[in-house]
Amino acid sequence: MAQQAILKKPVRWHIAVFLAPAVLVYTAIMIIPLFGTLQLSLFREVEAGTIYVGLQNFRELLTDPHWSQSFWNALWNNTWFFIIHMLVQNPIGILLAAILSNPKLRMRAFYRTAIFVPTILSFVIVGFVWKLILSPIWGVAPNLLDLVGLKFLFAPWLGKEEYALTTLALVSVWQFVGIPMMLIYAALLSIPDEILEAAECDGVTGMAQFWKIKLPLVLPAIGIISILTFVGNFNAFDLIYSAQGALAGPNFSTDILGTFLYRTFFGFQLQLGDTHMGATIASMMFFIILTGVSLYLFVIQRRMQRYQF
Amino acid sequence: MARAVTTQRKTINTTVAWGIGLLIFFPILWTILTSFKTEAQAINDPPLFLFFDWTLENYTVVQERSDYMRFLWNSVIIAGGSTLLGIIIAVPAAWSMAFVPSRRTKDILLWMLSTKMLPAVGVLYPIYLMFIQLGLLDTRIGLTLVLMLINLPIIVWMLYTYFKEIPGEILEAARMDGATLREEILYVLTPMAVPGIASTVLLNIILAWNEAFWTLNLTAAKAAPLTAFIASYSSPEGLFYAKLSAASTMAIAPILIMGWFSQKQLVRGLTFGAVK
Repeated sequence: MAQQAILKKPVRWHIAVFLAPAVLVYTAIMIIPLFGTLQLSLFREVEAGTIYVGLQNFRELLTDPHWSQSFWNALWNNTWFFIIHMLVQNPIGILLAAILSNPKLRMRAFYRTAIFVPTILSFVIVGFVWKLILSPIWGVAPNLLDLVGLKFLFAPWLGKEEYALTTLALVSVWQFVGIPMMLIYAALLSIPDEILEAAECDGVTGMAQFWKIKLPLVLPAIGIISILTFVGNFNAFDLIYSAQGALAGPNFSTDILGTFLYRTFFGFQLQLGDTHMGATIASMMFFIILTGVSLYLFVIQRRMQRYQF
Repeated sequence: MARAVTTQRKTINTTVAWGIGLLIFFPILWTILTSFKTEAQAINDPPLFLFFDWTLENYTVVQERSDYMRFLWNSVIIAGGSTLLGIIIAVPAAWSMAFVPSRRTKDILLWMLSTKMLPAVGVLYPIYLMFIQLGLLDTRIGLTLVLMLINLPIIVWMLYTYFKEIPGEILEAARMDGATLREEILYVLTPMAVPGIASTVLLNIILAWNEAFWTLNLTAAKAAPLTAFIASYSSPEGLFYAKLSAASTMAIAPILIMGWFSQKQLVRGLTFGAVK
């Protein structure tokens, strides 16, 4: 009995003390505002004061033409933004990683750095740099296209409703393509040599080896990239804001959920800010992202584990 | 013969790779080149690539007219301060998660990461109100605090994955030899954790340096760092391309240098440790 008392671990107060600052400070300043936002979405300002309206705000956002038109527009634009990322960023990332993992490549570090540099730049700078290049009057893009004989393809991409969103999505792909490249590169390197040797013994080489052996094995990495892209895209705001402003011009064609939320919260030229509707949009975004992440964690990732060693 | 073919393929491979690398790097290169031109040359048609009169005029003008050094100083203080504060808070937390794990460890980590799933715009309003009440709007202290909190989950998470790699047996051995908790942390753990802490610091400085959303919304004139400076400069569109390029180049130079040395650690942080 006495021995047991000695063996019993003392209460480790220092653990609690160590954890407390990070968890408490973080909860107080980040998590509580989050719940504040969720709570705001259930109330509304009327003449008599603030009243509880349940899910009325959400119903209005989805169906009342005053709100729903902008909301569906922003949601569709956001989805298109994400689709462009998935369709362009992933194949290019795989291609770049394949080049990088080529043992014949010289000056590997330079190549890798050149591609990775945009990722560590601020959105503000990225917005300016691309305006500098794409400007129809002063930009260098028309001349560069002229050099390769494609000048007829040039249009004021950022200023045309039909191109602006796609252009910005591609700019965003340019900025972040370094991350998929590095992730897939790491996945390619971690494929055991035995597997590739076995494939070669069976006569599977070159492109066939890439499609049948390597690609299935890097699928989990592509899954991680997809979910990071999804969260990043549906949270996106900075790039659109710094390139096109909060009005997401031309004519709201680059309006995504982030900019729509910003305008609603703080108001703009023609409209006063509406805290409660803003909070409703923020909550919608939260639920959309939560759904996507849960889907990934509980459905897609489980299936993928079969491929792992 | 076989060797000749290999050399040729090697050259082709390298050329293709360099071509792609250069293409991706071009926008940044163009900005840097433009910063050395006069305003007239910057918008010259056809564009001038290398053969123009290189000048440093833009850099001096940017400094004189807009007091670039003050913004730079704000950036340094805010990025450095938030990193230092974050590390001080995060090291003990990550330490206890890595070496004294409990059933709740994963929950706490997820709890902290959960806010990364939320649009930053969504918590801007409550924080903005809080800042007005506390008188923190447009102060360096306020911005330092917010940036520290924004990046805290990444710091804790990164330190946690680094600490996990340190074998616990070594710490046990130190305890067996009679080291106190303080000695154990100071003389055994810290030296081994230095590389991990260093790359976490680097990543966090870069993230805080680049942060545009919070800096634009929570600062006005006094505490504005470089990102706010660039944003304010670019409003009269089309004018002053060369000067804005010079300002941008000065803003990205420290980042380029730091990023060059820490790519792998950056990827690790940006993907929440999915890549080691």
